[in-house]
Amino acid sequence: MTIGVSDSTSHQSDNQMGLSLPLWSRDVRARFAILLLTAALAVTCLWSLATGPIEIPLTALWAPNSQSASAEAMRNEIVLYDIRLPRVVLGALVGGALAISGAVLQGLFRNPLADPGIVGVSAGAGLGAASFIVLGTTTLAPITAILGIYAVPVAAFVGGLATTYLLYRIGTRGGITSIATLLLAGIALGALTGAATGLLVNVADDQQLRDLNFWGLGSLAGASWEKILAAAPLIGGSMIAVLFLTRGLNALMMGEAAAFHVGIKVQRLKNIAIICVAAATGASVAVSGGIGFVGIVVPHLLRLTIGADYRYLLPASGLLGASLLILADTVSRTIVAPAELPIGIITAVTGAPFFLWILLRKKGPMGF
Amino acid sequence: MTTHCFQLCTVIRQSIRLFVAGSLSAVALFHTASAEPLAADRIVSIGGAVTEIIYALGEEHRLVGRDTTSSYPPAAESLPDVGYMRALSPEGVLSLSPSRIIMVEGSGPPEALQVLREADIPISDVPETYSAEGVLEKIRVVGAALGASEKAEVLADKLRADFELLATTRNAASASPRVLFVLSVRGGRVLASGTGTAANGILALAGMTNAITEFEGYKQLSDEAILTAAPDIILMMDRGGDHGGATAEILALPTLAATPAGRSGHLVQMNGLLLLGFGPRTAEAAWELKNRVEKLFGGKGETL
Amino acid sequence: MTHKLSFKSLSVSIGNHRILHNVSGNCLSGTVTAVIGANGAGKSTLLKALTGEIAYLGTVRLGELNVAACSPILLALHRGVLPQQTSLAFPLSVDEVVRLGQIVPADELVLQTRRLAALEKVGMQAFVTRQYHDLSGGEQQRVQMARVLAQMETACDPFNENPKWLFLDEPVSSLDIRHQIQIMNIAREFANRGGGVFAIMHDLNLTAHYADQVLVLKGGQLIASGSVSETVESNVLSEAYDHPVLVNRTPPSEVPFVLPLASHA
Repeated sequence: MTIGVSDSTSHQSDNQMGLSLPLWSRDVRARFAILLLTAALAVTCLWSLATGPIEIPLTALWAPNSQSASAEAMRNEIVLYDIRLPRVVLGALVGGALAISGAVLQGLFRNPLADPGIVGVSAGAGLGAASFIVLGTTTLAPITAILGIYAVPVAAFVGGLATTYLLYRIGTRGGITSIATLLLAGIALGALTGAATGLLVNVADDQQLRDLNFWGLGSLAGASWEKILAAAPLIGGSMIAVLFLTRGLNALMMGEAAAFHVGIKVQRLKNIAIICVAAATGASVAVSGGIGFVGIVVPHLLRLTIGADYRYLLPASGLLGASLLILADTVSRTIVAPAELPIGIITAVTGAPFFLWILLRKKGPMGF
Repeated sequence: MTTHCFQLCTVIRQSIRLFVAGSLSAVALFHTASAEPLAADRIVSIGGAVTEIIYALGEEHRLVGRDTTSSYPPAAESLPDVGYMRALSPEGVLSLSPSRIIMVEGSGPPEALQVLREADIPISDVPETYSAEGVLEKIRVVGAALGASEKAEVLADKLRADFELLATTRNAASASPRVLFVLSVRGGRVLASGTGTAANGILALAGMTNAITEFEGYKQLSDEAILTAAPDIILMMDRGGDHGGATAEILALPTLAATPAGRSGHLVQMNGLLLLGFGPRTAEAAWELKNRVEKLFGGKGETL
Repeated sequence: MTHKLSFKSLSVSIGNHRILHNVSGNCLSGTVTAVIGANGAGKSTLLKALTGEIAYLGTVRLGELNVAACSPILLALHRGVLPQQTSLAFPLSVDEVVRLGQIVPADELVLQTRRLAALEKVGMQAFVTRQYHDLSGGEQQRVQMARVLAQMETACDPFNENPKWLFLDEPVSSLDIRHQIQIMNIAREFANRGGGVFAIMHDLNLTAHYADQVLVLKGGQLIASGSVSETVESNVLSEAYDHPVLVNRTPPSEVPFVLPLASHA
């Protein structure tokens, strides 16, 4: 198409020079940021593995199945492979899942303050977990007998997914999901599950209350290979799936109608996004309890640095979320050693002031 | 399914091991290798009563760590704290290079215990029952775990005598006052003990009646339930510091003020760990409670 | 080859309220069709039905395509839609906004060149790296126009010779005179090159200048359709807007010239 609109272009031609360079630089910057974040994640993983209350002479582990089967070598091996490594892997999975889920939901709800909890996962998972913490040895004992120590995480996962499903059914009429209804129904369902959890708190004993409290603050302390094996396919699968939604999420920034006009199946986008986020967040919350702030702070921070384009935002969020959670977890297991601080406290204590600083530093609404 | 899962885990572990070991050798350059040798006799004690028993048995030199609830005797507080008994950090515990962990029933979380077992650290579980026999059992179990069963028998025998004396005076007592154990008063809401708690246990030992038997555990009481319970005494944990002010404040609560205890100002406050710990000091605690209650009613008060 | 956008017995209801009632018509490619009418006459609803955005009774055909049965992507390959105004939920650069229109993957360098070309057509090429949020309403509208042009450009493929359609919902309402003319020129040019243009218009004088066919809606029904001289006419307009309207002709080209009468006159 060659349509000359000569009268309007002439006076702006002086601004044209060097146009292609800044144009490329945004893409280049985003790609560079992703590379940098990948390197940062690798360094964080190694640092976290090498850090802890126990000083491990890492060179001793160079040889696999170390011949010197001393008690110390065995202890170090357990610390490294059964405590630190599962925590690093789980931290990466959970941190990545929470940050990506946050970014996806913010796109879906067109609101930078949406977090994974908005689709009811956290509330439902909290109720599921509370049921087994409080009633696991009495009313629900038969189920506990089958699930063993995984009763609480399984219950949290099922509770999270069930709540999201219910919310989704309420928000969908005639095959169309109303985001506004979803938001309002989420508040109502949150109140309901909150009431049910309150009821459980009422019958809980002192120790169960402490457990509930610790669960709510979140922790990677229970990381094990079994949990990773259960959570990784769910988290990995859904996070890979949402990477294919980037074009749709980008288009959705203009609103649902405009997204439809550029060829997006909006309803399908909503379905996939909600299912993936519910599965990934459900699995994350189940294995680590309630960890706040990662889902909001990470995407927000990245939008300010590399821009809102989902093609870069999603992978970058995953990488940064993973690094930050591993970092927070390393702090949580070393700062009051030999005891441990719940990770939720660390993410909130560092995340909240940082978030405020971003908001105050930038002018304009929402810090943009 | 579990074994299958475990095999898969092992395979993953083995494959990750090579990679990690390789990567870590780079990091290792920055670390000085200085692990202290594993001593043969290093005990980590989890649970206030367990720690008290270890001290009572004179075996405290073997302790290398304790949990947050172990705050008596004061010397115990200088030991490294591995966290709240139900939120233990496995690496934190392992960092103390323990040769044995003695923990009271209910310690956790289960995942942490699993790792500790995997690390071949012997764990001695100490049962928790809120009764005189429960205390004796605890002492025997801890004694056995320490390889000091004889000392433990001596301590248990002494305590058994104390408990028997308590039982005799209990039976001789004419009246059994109704006691309401208040765990906390927050914003005017009274959280009180029902049955099946340590508070219920100590009341029974001291020969008193728990004013609340309608529920198990600690729950918030309605105003009317407090009035119906009609306690003669209100028992609380002493959080240290200003007794006078706190006492006046608690008894001034409208619902508590209307009970017999409130009208006559009968409030007893005792150290929480002493009162509810169910360790070697429990007989002593029951005596103290009994005496303080008797004093309130104008009695003479005896000592153990 | 001419290509038709045709709709038959088109009705749209929301709840019990019927917004469009039995509307039929044909629009030809290579021409500009303008829809005029008072607020609430059903113009936007007609556009939403024709673009497949909302459900309707009746049939809509875009060339051989049955709009109701088409997937969003198939529709997007054949028509672009310019909304009245578009706000973004998150900050994007002007270039990134135009990129949203590029629905067919291609070499990034080619796509980038096309984006710049589209921006140049609306006179916004100097704004390419600017933040969309920072632009004025009129500038944003021109960027959106470039986005739609980019969509039509990338949608052109050698195996598909069918003309593309532009649907414009009040394309010039937030623009100054010069940019009104600029956007209407682009629409005109698009039609001259064989594409179809379907535009909701409020400015009757611009309509008279640019439209080949005018559809007049009132209360959800089509009350008149035809050439400018048949529709931009005192009786039709007075009825459509329920207000007396005077139509004159400008001397050189004899294009109708509309003057609504002030009520006290």
